[in-house]
Amino acid sequence: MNLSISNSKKKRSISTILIFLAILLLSDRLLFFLTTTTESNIFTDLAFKDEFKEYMKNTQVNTVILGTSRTYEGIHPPYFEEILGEKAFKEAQSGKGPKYNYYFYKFYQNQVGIPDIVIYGVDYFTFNIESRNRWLSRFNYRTEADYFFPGMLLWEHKKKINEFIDTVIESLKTILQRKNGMPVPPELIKAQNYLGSNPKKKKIISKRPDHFKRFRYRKSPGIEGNYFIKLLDLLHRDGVTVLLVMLPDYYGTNLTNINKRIFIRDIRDLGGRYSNVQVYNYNTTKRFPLDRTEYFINGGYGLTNSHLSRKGAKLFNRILLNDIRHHYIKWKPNKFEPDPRDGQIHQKKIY
Amino acid sequence: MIFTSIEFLIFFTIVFGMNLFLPSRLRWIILLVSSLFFYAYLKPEYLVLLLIPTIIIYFIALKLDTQQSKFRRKVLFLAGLMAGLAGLLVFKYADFIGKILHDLTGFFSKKGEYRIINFILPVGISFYTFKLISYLTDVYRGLLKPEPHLGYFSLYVSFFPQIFMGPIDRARDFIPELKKKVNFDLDRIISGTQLFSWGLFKKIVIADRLSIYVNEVFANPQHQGINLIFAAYFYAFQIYCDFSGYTDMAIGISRILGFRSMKNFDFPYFSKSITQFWSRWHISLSTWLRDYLFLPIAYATMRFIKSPRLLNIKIETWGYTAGVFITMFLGGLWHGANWTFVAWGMLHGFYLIISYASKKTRKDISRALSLNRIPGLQKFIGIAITFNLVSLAWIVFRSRSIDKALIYIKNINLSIPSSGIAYLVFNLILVLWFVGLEWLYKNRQNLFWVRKMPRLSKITLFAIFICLTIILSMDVSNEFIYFQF
Repeated sequence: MNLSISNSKKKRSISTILIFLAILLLSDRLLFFLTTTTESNIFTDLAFKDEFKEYMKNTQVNTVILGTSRTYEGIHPPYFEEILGEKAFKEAQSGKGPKYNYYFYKFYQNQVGIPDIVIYGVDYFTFNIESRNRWLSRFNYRTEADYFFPGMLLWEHKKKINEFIDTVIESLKTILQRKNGMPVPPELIKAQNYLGSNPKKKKIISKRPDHFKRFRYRKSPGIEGNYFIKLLDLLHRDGVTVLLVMLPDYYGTNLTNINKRIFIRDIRDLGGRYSNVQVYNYNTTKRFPLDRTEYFINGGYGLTNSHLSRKGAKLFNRILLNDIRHHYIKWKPNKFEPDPRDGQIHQKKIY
Repeated sequence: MIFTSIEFLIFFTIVFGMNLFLPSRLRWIILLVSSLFFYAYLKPEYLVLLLIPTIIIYFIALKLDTQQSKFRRKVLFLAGLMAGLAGLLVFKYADFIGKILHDLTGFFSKKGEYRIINFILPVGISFYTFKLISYLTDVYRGLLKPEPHLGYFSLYVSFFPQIFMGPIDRARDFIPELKKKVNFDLDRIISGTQLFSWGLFKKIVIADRLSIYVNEVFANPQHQGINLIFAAYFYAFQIYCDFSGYTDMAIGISRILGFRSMKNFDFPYFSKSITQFWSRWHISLSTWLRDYLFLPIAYATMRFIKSPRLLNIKIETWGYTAGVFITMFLGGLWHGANWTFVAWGMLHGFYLIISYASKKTRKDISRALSLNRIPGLQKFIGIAITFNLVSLAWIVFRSRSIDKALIYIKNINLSIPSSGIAYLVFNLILVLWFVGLEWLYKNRQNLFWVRKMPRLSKITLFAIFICLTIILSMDVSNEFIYFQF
């Protein structure tokens, strides 16, 4: 290319590029601010607080269940009522990482008070997930950003911006459903009555291939581990009994997540710092039949994600609730009659 | 390496930098090496399939130019044609032809079933093959002098912005472009960047977002009600934005490097008739089909009939009908070895013939309804009818089989389903916004306020446009639809 151009043209070219870059960065900041503010307002407006208050008005809850999708599929409040006669409230879903759970607990504390027991479903990815803005914006949370960052904020926070679009579509869905007079099932109530879903054969890789991908563990504190510690501190201060429960993963998934031992050590170390925390590990063949495909919806060799099925969750809840029954007796000593099945599950060889 | 990837951004920055600072005489070498690297980056083996026909056709074209004997010229031409088409026939149509032969004769059987060969189709083979054939035919017809420089000829065939999805530029226009002296011109670079950004927006915002809804509806057409109508419309926009987005990016890149590439789309959904649609959709392919298939077939048919009328129908109509049917059949097949593409091509052929035959009737109806006195309304009706016909044909094109297309069409109704409406509304807003932007872009020369807009405002609008593209783009971009062709 012939580069011989006049000085005036050269000056014009340089000034055009510089002006463009300055305007681009300004527009980027402005749109970033607008997007995050709008998102925070959209979800706060969509009545989570009202739904929550309405639900809690008539419910006496002493247990709060926190976690991600593994917990959503694995621990079910109806079993608490059936087996222990206790009311539990579940706040677990995909994208609800430690950061969300920390903010939720603070919200719960403020709206309802301090619960007796918090069950936190932990897994291999607890320190590797990032809470979604869609959930965080329930508490007027806005993506924090350094406005003096030299690059484009929209690009830097692209993942969060994508969530903004999802939030817009979700909100549109709710608005349309309400306008058309369709009942909007509050996610809140749905989660409390949920008992799990049936296994999907195609989603489980049960035959061990010669080679499959393995996934390394992201050590604590990872992405949001600091919030996990903040939450444990808060629960300790409030005197809440905390049960950190490692949920079962399908056998093949356990072999895929190769640093499982480090993960268990991490959780035990964290739990060991607090007198109110107990750790329960069910991700072992000694405590749960991890090789039975009918107990899982998905998972397998090379797949990191594994969730309990309806049938698997039924068995798991029975095991778990019998194991933690004594925590409830501690709170209400006269309430429970001894369960004849107590101890049998551990003695019985399930596999 | 695709245009929407970070690897491409790095690759292009290096190519542009070398193009800018190295001496002009080295330009063809830089571009040829980078083009071959760009193509081989996907799969190095593909390079062999590109280079062999390129070299064969280069030498045959040189030989054709010196050959006087008509017979020998014809033999050379046919040999070149075979060399050009061999790759395409083997890699794209082997299974299709094999399956037909199996159904007819029982050949290629394995336990009664057809033994699938399943070759992996080299990306861009349909595009560079058509470039080679047009070059060879033009030399054979004496319309073009063969290019003596193998480097320039190879660069024409493999030029990286065009190799995957065109435009199918003609050698007589593009080789001189490659040879011309290029000066640094900021306005040209800005205009190329704007065109690239517009293409990127079409792809990663409109096409990729619409694809989620479209894929979902086409996968489960039962009980979708009104979603089926909108999915067909959205697919029309998806494929348009996907393909024209790519060519806008390709033309933008060429412009930044200093080359003028041919226009490939000219706002086709604003067409008032099917004939106009085909003069605005994939222009480089439709003009290619016109010059190398339609016209020769139409003239051959007319020569064959000899008398001015046959069955009381004009000879021109026979020529047109034969030309359109065969061209659209092959044009459909060019898209892929599947009967849905053939049916799509034939459906368009049918539209074109009806449009040709009903010209007078349509004019009479328009006059009887006094539509000719309200040209705006007449234009709107024309655009609406054309768009609906084109969208109907896209259903056949998008479906996996003719049966599935029929099931889809059969299920269409106006009921409102319980799910998917939020996505429908969101996509509708997106599409209407896009149509508005296209209309503005189309009429930018006629709009006073756009022409008189100060430079600073234009820069600001462009900056906001880039930010909006980032906000609305999908996290992971889908592969371009026309890559499979």
